[in-house]
Amino acid sequence: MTEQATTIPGERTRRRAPRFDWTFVVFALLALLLVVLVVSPLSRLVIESFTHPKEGGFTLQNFVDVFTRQRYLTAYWHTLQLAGVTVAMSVFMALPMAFAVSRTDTPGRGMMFFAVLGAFIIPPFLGAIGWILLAGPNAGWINRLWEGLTGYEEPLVNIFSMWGLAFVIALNVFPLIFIFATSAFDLISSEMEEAAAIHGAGPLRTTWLITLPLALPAVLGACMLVFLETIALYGTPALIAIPARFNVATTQLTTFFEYPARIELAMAFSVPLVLVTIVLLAAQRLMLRGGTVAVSGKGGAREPMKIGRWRYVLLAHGILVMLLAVVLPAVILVTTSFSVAWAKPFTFDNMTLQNFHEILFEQQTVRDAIWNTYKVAFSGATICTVLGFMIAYMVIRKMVPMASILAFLTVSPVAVPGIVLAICFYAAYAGPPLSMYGSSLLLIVAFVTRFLPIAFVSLSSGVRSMNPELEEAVRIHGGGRFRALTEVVAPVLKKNLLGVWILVFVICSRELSTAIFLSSHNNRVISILTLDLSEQGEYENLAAMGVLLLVITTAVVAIGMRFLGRDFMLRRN
Amino acid sequence: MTTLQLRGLTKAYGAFKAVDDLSLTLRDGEFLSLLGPSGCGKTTTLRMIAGFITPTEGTILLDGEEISSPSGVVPPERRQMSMIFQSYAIWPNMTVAQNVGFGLRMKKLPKDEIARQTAEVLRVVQLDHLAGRYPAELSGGQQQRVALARAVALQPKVMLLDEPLSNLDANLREDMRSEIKRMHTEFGITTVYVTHDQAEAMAISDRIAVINAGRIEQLDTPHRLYSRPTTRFAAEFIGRTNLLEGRRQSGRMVFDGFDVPSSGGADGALLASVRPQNLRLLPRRDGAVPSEPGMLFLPGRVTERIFLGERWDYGLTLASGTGLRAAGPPEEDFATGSEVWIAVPEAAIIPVEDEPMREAAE
Repeated sequence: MTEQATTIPGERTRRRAPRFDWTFVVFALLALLLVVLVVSPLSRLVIESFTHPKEGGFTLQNFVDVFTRQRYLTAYWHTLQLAGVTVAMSVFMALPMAFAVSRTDTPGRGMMFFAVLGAFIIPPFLGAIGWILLAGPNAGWINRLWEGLTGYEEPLVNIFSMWGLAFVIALNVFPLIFIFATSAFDLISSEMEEAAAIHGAGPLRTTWLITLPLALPAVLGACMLVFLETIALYGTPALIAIPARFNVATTQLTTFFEYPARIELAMAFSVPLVLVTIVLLAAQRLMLRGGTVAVSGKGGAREPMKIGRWRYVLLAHGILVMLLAVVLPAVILVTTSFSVAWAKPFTFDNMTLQNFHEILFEQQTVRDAIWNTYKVAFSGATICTVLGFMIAYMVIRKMVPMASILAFLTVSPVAVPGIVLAICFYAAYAGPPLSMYGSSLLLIVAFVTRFLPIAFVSLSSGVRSMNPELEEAVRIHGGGRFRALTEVVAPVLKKNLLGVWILVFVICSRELSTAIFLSSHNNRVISILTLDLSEQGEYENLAAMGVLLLVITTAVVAIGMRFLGRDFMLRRN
Repeated sequence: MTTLQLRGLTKAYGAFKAVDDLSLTLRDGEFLSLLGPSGCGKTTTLRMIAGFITPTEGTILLDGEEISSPSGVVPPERRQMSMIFQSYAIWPNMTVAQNVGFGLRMKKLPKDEIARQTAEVLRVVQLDHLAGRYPAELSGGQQQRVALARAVALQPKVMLLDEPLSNLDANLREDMRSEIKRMHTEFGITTVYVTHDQAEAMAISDRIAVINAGRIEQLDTPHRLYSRPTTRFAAEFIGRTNLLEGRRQSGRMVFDGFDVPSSGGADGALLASVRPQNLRLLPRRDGAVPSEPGMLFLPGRVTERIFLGERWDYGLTLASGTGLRAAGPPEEDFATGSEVWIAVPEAAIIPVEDEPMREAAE
């Protein structure tokens, strides 16, 4: 008996006793992390906007205050106008290019692709600075050239206007429409167009009746994204709308932080922005689901349409957009960065390396900001990639209970504009008990929350495309989950991981709106410093800093393209 | 009256000839299939007929008029043809009626005329009740009929079909096949049909062009193609067959261990084909050799057998070591290892005529 009692139960324990369920621990850890990153800050939006600032307790007074003050309503109205005009301009810039690149034999398609990539890489605030130097009403190069040529003193163009602002934003966001439109055009099987041709439609009619309607849902969806991007944008309006003396929603938000700070009003003012975002994102998803994919069957080979003389029209359009979006701003930034005084002609006397010397070796604030920017971007990109990969893997492989909750929490910050997210983080973590205001850690945490959805969505599709049998094969041959993850899954997805890291690194290094309320002089980043330097009129140092940022970004993107293929930045996901 | 002529049609991609000196003539109302393995050039040929691809050499004539040559191609939209694509290419942004009426609209017919003709065609394919629906709301079978209706609505001179059944499951495949056949009977449109499925081509075509490596191997009616293949490729591609190597000698075809009368032809090396269906098995015990005029009885042994439900598939070995396959009815059961007589009608041994010449050429 005793002998049996010692051996058989021993066998039994090994065979039958449930092993410790570590998936629950992982779930709990991730859930806790997401509470810190997402739930706690975002819940502030609802809590603070419905709370009386002094007495506490539930109130609707904040909303009443917001919706009865003419100045606030004007800000919303300006934002709507601005977004509408920006969408129209972006479509005009992007759609012909997308069509040319994806469907036709237009020459210079590779150049157009790089033009779009360039526009995508230039941070919005640098594009804005470039255009202030080009088209400022008095000292802008274009206006001075105009005056020199014609003698008129009335400026030709004035960037400090609603139209100017929309134009500058459109030059920066049109790549979004380009990406969606090209991927929709690419999905349309050539057979769709060939069917029109064989049934009697020429190339123009085929384009008008078949190709464009098929891409329409994707283009409309992209328009909504551009609309959202524009209403959430802070940097460009801060540089252009504030001097032009009109306020939009995001610039209005910053005024709530002037002394005495009215967080509860800022929150209430943000709620409509969040609601609009949610509605438009949902609508965009619906549009894409209705989709452009061929109804059945597989597509044939795709052949570019021969469009005859129209090629030159499309080529000219592409060159114009490239000049406006990339070449002109880049040239003016570079010349300014090497100038003693930007408003003087770029002659030999006016050339200097002093600006770079100053920002790199003399100005402590600039050096700190550069260092801080890349510290935050590096940490943010790394944390986003690792965390996004872990969550994506657990969710897609359904390894933890209620995986869909994790997925929902992870992507939910998408619905919150960056500047609103900044307010939420300010409310949650800036003050006691954590008092993180002014620390780099707070910026990192906020950036991770903001960009985790990008990493998660992209890596989810990577994991989903992997056959689970690859991992099962590891396990049946004696390796554990962890080994499967490190020796099979991660190596197989290394391109996806690197792509996500680079993408998040680049957008972190230029993020402005999420940083705006979380920065003090201790943890300023380049984007924030741009606003300060612009206000002080120090365009030469600012340009030097911008050129440095562009060089580093371009180098990182070039490395990415070398390893991951040309279009890794411009893929839609 | 429509005639479509391909004359010496060639399409080269660099040194590779996708289509190589291909000539054929379609009669008015004929249903012709281009049959061959993937990559044989059949789709390239079809797309040249449609005007999507410019030939490197040769011409295409429609009713005697040149519509394709290396120097120029009438664009697809002016060839008065129609096409059913592999993916069907039904435009998801248009209703069924708009899809079907598209070609008529391009012809700039008056609106009520378009409506009338569209309704007529939809009635023929029994889709009149779905005229206002969008393609995404239709079943697979209905979508094919939309594609078919769209292609016939124009009353084109030539209708082109690019493997329209290849994406379908077995049931739909047969429905669609008979629907295509019915449309052809109803409208009598000259039709070129591309497929890699020999059964499909046999069932539907007036004539079949068997294509291999860009060239026509044999152009014939389905029945002749099956019973009288003229090349090794055609014999092997159409149905299953046994190929026997031998010689032609003084009026007889001589194989290893037996010979049969030959219906003429020059002496020399020879390749012959005999279908498994033409072989019958009889039990062989010690004793008399069966005999019957016009029949050949060969001693053999069953080395392998597979039951396929409708028939047995036997692997046999002759005394000479030659291997043969035979099909037997399910109720006649010969075990592996049994000694059998293999009964072959002499007339079923068909010389594959081109073979000696080709061998000599190579």
